Amino acid sequence: MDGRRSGTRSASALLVALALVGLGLFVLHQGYSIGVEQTAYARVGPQVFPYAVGAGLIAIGALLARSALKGSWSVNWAETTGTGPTRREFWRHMSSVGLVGSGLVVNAALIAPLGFVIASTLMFALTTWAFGSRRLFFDLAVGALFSTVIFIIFTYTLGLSLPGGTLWGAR
Amino acid sequence: MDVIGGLLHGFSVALTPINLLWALIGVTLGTAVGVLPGIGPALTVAMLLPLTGKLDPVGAFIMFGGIYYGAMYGSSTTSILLNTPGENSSVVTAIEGNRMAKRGRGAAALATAAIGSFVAGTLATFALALFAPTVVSFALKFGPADYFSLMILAFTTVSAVLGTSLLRGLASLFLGLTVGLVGIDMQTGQARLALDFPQLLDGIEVVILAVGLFAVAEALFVVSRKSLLADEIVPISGRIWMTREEWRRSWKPWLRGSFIGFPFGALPAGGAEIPTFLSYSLERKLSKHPEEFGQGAIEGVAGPEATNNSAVTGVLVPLLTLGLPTSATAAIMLVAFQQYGLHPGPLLFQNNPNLVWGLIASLYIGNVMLLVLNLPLAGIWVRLLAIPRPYLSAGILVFASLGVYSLHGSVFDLGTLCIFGLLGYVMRCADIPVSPAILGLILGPLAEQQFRRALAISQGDPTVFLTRPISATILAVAIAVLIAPPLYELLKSRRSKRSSPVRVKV
Repeated sequence: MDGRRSGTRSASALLVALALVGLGLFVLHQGYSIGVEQTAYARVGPQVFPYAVGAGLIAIGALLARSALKGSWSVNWAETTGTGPTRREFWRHMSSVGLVGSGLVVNAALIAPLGFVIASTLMFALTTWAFGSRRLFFDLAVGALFSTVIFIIFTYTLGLSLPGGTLWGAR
Repeated sequence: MDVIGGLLHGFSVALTPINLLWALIGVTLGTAVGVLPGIGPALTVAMLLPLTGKLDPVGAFIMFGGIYYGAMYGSSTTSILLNTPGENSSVVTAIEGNRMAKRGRGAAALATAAIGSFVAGTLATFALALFAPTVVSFALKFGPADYFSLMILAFTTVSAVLGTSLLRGLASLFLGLTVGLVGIDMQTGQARLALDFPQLLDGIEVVILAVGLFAVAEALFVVSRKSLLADEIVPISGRIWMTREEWRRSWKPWLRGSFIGFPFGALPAGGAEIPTFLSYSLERKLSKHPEEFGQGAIEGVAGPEATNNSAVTGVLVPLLTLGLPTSATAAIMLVAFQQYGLHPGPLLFQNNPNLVWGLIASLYIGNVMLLVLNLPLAGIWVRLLAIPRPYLSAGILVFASLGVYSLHGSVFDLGTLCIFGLLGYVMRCADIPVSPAILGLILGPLAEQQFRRALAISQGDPTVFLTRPISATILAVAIAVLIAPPLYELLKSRRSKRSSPVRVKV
C-alpha cells in the first residue's frame, strides 16, 4: 500500500469519527430542546438518556479520532486486487456501490406509482449489472419473473397487500 | 413445574403435527440462510417478524429457534467446502475444515461438524432445561435497578466481544441507542429525535435497522470488493462416512466443545464467536497430532462446531429467564416476544409453560431433523451456492425491501432503509461491528424504562444502583469488562517502554 492511499484511509477514518461527534452534538441538542417542565413528576425526565447517549457518542468519536490520527484505525471504501491500475479499479468499485444504492432509491421512488413488480425488476437489474453481469435483457426478464412470482405468492396466498401501481389505477 | 415434568409437557406440545411442521420449516430455512453468504439468522428472523401477526406464538418461536439452530449447521457447510464462513461463529471451522476438504476428507469434516453439533445441541438443551428454572428462581429477586445493571453489563460485554475493538463496538452500540431514542417517550409522551416527521413518532422498527445493516450493507460492501470474490467450491469427495480413527479423534472435542460453549452463551458474554476460538486453541493444545493443525485436523472442526451450537442454546437461558438478549438473533427474538405482548423473564415460565417447554423440547426435535437434513443432504445444500452472486444479491435486496415495505406499506420506511444501508456500509468499511447496534436499539428503551422505574422507586436517589448488592456486583463486572483491556494494554506498553531503553544500552 503506498503512502497516499494509507493517508486517504486515515482521513476517511477521521471523517467517520468526526461524524460520530457531530451526531453526538445533535443528540445533545435534541435532548436539550425537549423541555424540562415534567421532570418533577417523572423524577427522571425524557432528556436524561439523550444527554447520556449524546455525551457517549462525542467521547467515542473523540477517541476514534485519536486512533485515526495515530494511524491505528483506517476506513477502506473499496478493496482492490493490487494487480493493474489501482485507482481505476477503486473508482470502478465505488461506482458499483453507487449503482446498487441507486437501485434501492429507484425502488423506493417507484414502488408506489409503478407498483412492486416494475420497481423490483428495475432494482434487480441494476444490482446484477453492478455485480458484473452484462446480460441486461436476460436479467430484466429474470427480475420480472422473480418479482411477479413473489407478488402472486404474497398477495394471493399470504394475503399481504403489495402495491400494484397507482399510475394505472391499481392499488 | 419440575424439569422432567416440564420436558414431558414440552414434548407433548412440540410433537403435534403443526408444531413439527414449524420446526421443519425453521430448520430448513435456517440451514439455507446458514449456507448462503450475506443472510444470517438475525436477518431471517427479522424479516419473518411480520408473520407474528398471523401465527400462534408457540409455532412462531419453534420456527425461530429452528432458524437459529439451522443456521449454525448450515454455516459449517460453507466453511468447510468453500472456506467462506456463512456466520462469524464458523470462522474457526474454515481453518481446518477447508483443509480437510482439499485433502479429500470433506465428507468426514461435514459429518464431524453435523454430529458434533447434534451432540452439543442435545447436551446444551438438557443444560438449558436444567438451569433455566434455577435462574428463574434467582431472577424473581431482581428489581428494576438490578435489571438496569444487567443491561449495562450486556451492553459492555457485547461491545467488547463482538468485533475487533471495544471502542468500535461501543460506537456501534451508541448508534443503536441513538436510533432507539427516536419516537415518543413512553413515560411523558414527548417526542424525541423525531425531527417533526410524523412517521418517526412511533419509533424506528427493528426490522428496518436489521435489514439495512445486514442485507443492504452486505450488498454494498460485497460489490465494493467484488474482484476478491473468487470462491472455489471443493467438491465432496472421499468416503462418505467417518473412519474409526476419525470417530476416535472427534468424540472428546465434541464433549469439550459442548462444555465450553454453553456458559459463554448463557452468561451475557456475547454469543458464539469467542468460545469457538477458545475451543480451537484448546483442541490444538490437547491434540496428539498438533502438527496436523493448519493441515486439516479433525479436532479443529469437531470442537468449534460443537461449541457454537452449545453457545447458541446457552443464549436462550438469559433470553427466556431474564428477557436479556446477548446476540443479534436473540435480540430480534425478544422483539417477537414483545409483539405477542409476552415478557420473557421469570414469569414467562409460570404463565406460558406451553411456549417455554414447547420451545425447549422442539430444540431436541430440531437437532434430530438437522442431523438428517445435513448429513446425507449436505451435497444438496451446497448446490444453493451455485446461484451466481449477482442474482443472489439482487434477490436478497428484493426480499429485503419487500420485508420492510410490507411492515406498514410506507415509502418513508424504504427511505430509512436506504439510509441504514449506507450507514451499515460505512460501518463495514470502518470495521465497526453491526450486531451491537441491533442490541442497542432493542435494549436501549428497555434499559431506560428500568432506569427510570428504579429511580422512581428510590425517590430519585441515584445510589440505588450501588446499594443493592445484586446491582452493585453486576455493575462492578461491567466496569471490569470496560476498563480491563485498555488497562492491560497500558501496562503492557509501559513495561515495554521501560524495557526498551535498557535494550538500547545493551
